[in-house]
Amino acid sequence: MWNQKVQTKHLAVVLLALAGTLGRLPNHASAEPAGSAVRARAAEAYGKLPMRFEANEGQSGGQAKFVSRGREYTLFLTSSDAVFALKNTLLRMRLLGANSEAKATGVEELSGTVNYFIGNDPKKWCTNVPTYGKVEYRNIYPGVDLLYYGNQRQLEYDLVVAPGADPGVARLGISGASKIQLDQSGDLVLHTYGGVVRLRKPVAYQRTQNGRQSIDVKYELGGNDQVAFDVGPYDHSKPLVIDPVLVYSSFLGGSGSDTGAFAGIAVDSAGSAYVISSTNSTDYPIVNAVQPSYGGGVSDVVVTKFKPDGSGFEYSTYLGGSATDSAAGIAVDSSGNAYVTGQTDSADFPTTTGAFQRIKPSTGFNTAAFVTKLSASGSAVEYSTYLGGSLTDWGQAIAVDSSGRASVTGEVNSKNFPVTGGSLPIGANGDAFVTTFTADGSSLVFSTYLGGKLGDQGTGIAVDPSGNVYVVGFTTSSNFPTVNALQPVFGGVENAFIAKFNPNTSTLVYSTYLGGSGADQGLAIAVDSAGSAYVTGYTESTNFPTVKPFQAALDGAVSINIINQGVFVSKLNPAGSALVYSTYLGGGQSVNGHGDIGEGIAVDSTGAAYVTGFSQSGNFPAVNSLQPFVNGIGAVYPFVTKLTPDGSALVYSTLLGYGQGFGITVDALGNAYATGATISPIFPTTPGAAQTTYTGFRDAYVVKIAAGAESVAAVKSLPNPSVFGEAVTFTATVTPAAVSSNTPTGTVSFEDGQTPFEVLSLTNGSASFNTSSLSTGSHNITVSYGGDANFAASTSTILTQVVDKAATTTTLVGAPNPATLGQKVTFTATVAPVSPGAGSPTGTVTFKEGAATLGTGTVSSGKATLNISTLSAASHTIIASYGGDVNFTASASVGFPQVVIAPAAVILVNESIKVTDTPALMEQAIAVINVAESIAVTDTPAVAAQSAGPVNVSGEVSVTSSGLAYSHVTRTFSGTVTVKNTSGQSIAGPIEIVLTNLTAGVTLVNATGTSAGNSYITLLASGSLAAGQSANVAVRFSDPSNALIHFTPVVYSGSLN
Amino acid sequence: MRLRIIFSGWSLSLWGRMPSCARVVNPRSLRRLPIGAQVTNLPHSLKLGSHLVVVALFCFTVTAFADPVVEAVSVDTGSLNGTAGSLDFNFNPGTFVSQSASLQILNFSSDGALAGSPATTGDVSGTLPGTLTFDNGTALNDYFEGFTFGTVLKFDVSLYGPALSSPDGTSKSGSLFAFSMYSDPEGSTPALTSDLVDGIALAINVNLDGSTSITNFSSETIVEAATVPEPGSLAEVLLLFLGMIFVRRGAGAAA
Repeated sequence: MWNQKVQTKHLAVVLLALAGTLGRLPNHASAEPAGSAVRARAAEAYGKLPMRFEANEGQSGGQAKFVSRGREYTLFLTSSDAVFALKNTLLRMRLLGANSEAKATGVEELSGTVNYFIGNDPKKWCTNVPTYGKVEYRNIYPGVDLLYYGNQRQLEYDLVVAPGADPGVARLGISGASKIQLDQSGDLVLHTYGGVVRLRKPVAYQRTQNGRQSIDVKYELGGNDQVAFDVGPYDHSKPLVIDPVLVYSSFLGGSGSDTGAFAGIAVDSAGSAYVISSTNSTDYPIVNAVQPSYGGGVSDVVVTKFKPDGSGFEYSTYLGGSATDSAAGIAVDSSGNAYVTGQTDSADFPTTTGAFQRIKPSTGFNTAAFVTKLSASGSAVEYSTYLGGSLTDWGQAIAVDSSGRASVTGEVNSKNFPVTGGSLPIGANGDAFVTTFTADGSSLVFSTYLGGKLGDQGTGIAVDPSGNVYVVGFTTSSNFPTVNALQPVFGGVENAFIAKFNPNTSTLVYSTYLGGSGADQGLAIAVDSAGSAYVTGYTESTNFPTVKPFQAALDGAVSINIINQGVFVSKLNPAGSALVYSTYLGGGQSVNGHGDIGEGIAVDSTGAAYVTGFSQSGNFPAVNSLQPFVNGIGAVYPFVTKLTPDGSALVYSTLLGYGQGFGITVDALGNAYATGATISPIFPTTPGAAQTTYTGFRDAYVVKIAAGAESVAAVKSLPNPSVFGEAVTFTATVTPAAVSSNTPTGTVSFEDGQTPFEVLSLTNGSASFNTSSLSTGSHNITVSYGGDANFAASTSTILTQVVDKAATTTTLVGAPNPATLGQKVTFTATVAPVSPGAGSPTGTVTFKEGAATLGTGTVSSGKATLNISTLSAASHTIIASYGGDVNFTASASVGFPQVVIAPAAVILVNESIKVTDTPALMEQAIAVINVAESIAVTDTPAVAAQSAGPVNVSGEVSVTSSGLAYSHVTRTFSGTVTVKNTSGQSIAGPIEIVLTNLTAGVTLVNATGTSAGNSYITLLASGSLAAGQSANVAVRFSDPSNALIHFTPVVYSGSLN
Repeated sequence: MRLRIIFSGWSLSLWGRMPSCARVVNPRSLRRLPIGAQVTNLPHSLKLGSHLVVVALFCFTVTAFADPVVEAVSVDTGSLNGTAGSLDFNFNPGTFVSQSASLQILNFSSDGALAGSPATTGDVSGTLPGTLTFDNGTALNDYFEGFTFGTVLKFDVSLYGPALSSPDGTSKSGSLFAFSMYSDPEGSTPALTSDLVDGIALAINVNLDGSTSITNFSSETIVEAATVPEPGSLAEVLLLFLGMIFVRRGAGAAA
């Protein structure tokens, strides 16, 4: 990761210096361990020598600009190297990626000169060679100067970084050292056969108003004997805000040539990159291959799926027959199936049963296009088919819609190319074609020629969410079919074209030229969700149509017979009727005769376009480039450029090593994935990447670039743990990974596992929301920041939010209470969450009396009920026990006192009962005898009276009552009725009071029973009421209308049952 | 035993010795009293005076009997301190003919707080903490109000009217005052009472003979005869004072 760390450092300071000292130079061939004593001797020795730099005026030959000579070494300073000539060895330190054209200038000229009289030829003598105290290289890197000088007789060098420049670009490539290490003090120790050379730990500082302020800096070892500078935080005084961050970078290939003229790349939702290229390496890295062996011919297609972190391959496979097979384009559907196209000369190219065209349609060296679908694992070919006629046809690009229908474009020469009804007319001299396959690859949805009377070629294809198919290419036909065109007229020489087709037919929605009077080629296309097309390619037209351009004119010196070549990027509106923006990028011409070419384009969800290609002009615009742009012979640099959504500016624009960029794609987070070819062993790779070593003379490369400076997303919650139903506040913060004057903006997505549940905009770098809907259990919460124009996307670490069950309370009531024996009692248990818990408990409630379960009820809307009629006449203590559910804990009510009343509680005032034996009455069967009216019974035995049946004794008694108390609990009136025996003799029990004429709507709740439709209550169940005695009975009335409660009591002696 | 009676800023000390059966029952109050509570009956203490005084007393007993019965109610609500609950007062006739009677809730005081608006039913007027007046003319005469309990609750219950002052001997039902406390604002959960069915803490029945019966279901509630002299009582005191003068003068003359 050292490359990343280096690349993210920026300075926006007036001066930042990195100083390294050559702490010790070897004194003899026998290398001595570096130690303080040795260093002291060396310092003493060199202290006697002047530190001077001689301009090389031929005395040293070669590429050296200046020479400094010591007793045991000679230092040669070339345009990019510092070469130490030690005894028996050369130690070279190269500033990687440095500007080789940077001019070395001697400063602080010393008074002495040097003369070299070598040989006897005065012409070769060098006299009066000036000497200097310092040597300066201006812009050795963009904004970075290099200064060599002597300090206390030790060689030192400074890297002076201008405001806004990036010290991270500075890397040392060491050669000539057998071993490179860092010691505990941070010194860089170079072991050579000539001894040990030590570079002191670097020093960095920043000049501020308070003087010189030290900045942390250290060497950091990378692979391939490279050394970088890791600079700590510092003050950005100017908003150099965008860093392209190299997330990973890998070679891809075997020992042969691993890219042809094309390579393509796609990415799935998991961030796995899929790459297609051509190879002739028989040792190409193969993993989980459907075709593990090279098929033959000049090249095979290879398809490789990277792991999301770029550390390895999910699968990597050959694809081809015994003849030459070449890759062109790749697409991936939402399931991870890869669709590839290209051209094949193999008659045994692997095709599948049921495929549209299983037999190669052309013969000889006439190639056919192919379309192959690989499973997500790469272990199977879902379908594979030829596509072509009898002559040479090429597939150059492929896209897939949401239904899995692959659309292909390319060049067709065959007059019998498979087209469907309604195809546009065939042109001549080669046409473009557009073909859409059914999802199973067995047939065509539509297929059409697309071209005019001269040459036409489809080079790029895209599909929008509605299934419309967009094609880009170039044409020399002045009668290319145009429809609803923004540019209906051929501009001249060669123009790009853009065409949009309906999803299912060969009907053009629009078709237009795009170009000027020179040669213009459209080479790639992307489309956003709104249907706007983004195209790139190259233009040699100085009048290429531009709209709101970032760069209004083609760069490059204008001279006779020199045709400059630059990239164009254009955005068309969904109707194809206008350009939203259109701009040049770069331009010029190198000594190779080429300029800048856009080969691939992608667009993210914000509408920002990403372009890749390669530059040779030296004029390509750089913004925060990972390495400097240098023009030179043979210098061909891949570039990756991100434009702002309106096309008016560059978010970043960077070179990548040395080579050619061919394909680019972008994921949902705005990370760009680019591929191309390189012939540079020092192409910048990242540690841990799948393949960090160059393996052939032309390898593919795959890079992932995050947009913007690194950001750090974090998420916290409160409270944690929480309980079910409780509001939890989640707060996301996004901060710059390094000191920055900017604050991240844009949106963050809160995700619970894989499920997004809230998307919010950042305010001052943070966003919060509350939710009460979390289920119980642990939730793995992450925040994904989508990035903005200044900062790269980032994802937080996982926050585990624990949601416990909410506590509950259970309360219980029973009604009616008291109830009479046998009366149905309804117990209602209310189960409620305890705050801050919330929600509706479910499950069951068990109603118990002691250990005995009376029954259960299901909780609905927080209540459970039990109806029971079997409670005995007693006072019962009932408990409701809630069992809990997935979100709520169990709870139980306090005991609820439920009273069940037996008929008529009687209080005897006097137990004195007189009984005489009157057997005759025992023989009588009289249902009701009104004692007062018919029979005067004296000393009637109680037993006899009971068996004689009820006798109305109302005349023998007085009946009074207390007032009635009203209960808000039971909604009843209760009181006491008192019966006093006013006769001179006892009245035998049972004695009942019949409530006649009871107020309408009033109910005697605790009635013993009814008699002739009237409720009655037992006053005395047994025994007798002696003369003068009183007895009381409790009465309870239900009186919903609050009417005056009244009744006429009729008192009976004898059972009314 | 020293008794101090205070009325309208006047102070009068009476000295006398109570019999060993010091517990004297107000014939109008068959109450369940808290342990250690004593109820003094001024007419009984006057029996320790002269015959003349006794005669005078009997004369005024009729008047005194017509005076209101005032009970001072004090409830220790500390266990409910801070609880949002409710209070209920009702005064209702019985199932037969009840002689006219009235009731007032006086001197309501508490460190708790009344909450919300009261709900009244029947012949009820007034609003707490002011005086509530109940008549027994309808089946339900009820006053219900939310109350956040403090540590203590006090009020006086004054019962008066023909049923107490002049029982007609023909009415067959008394009238009953019931006081309830609940630990919820809805009045569904009884509090500070052993009557878990109806939730009544205190009941006072006006008996047919004009006496009252008190039933106290609450160990936290203390009911005492209010020490506020009734108009009749004040007249008794004045007569007593005059009687004492008369006796002293008589004694002095005898001497």
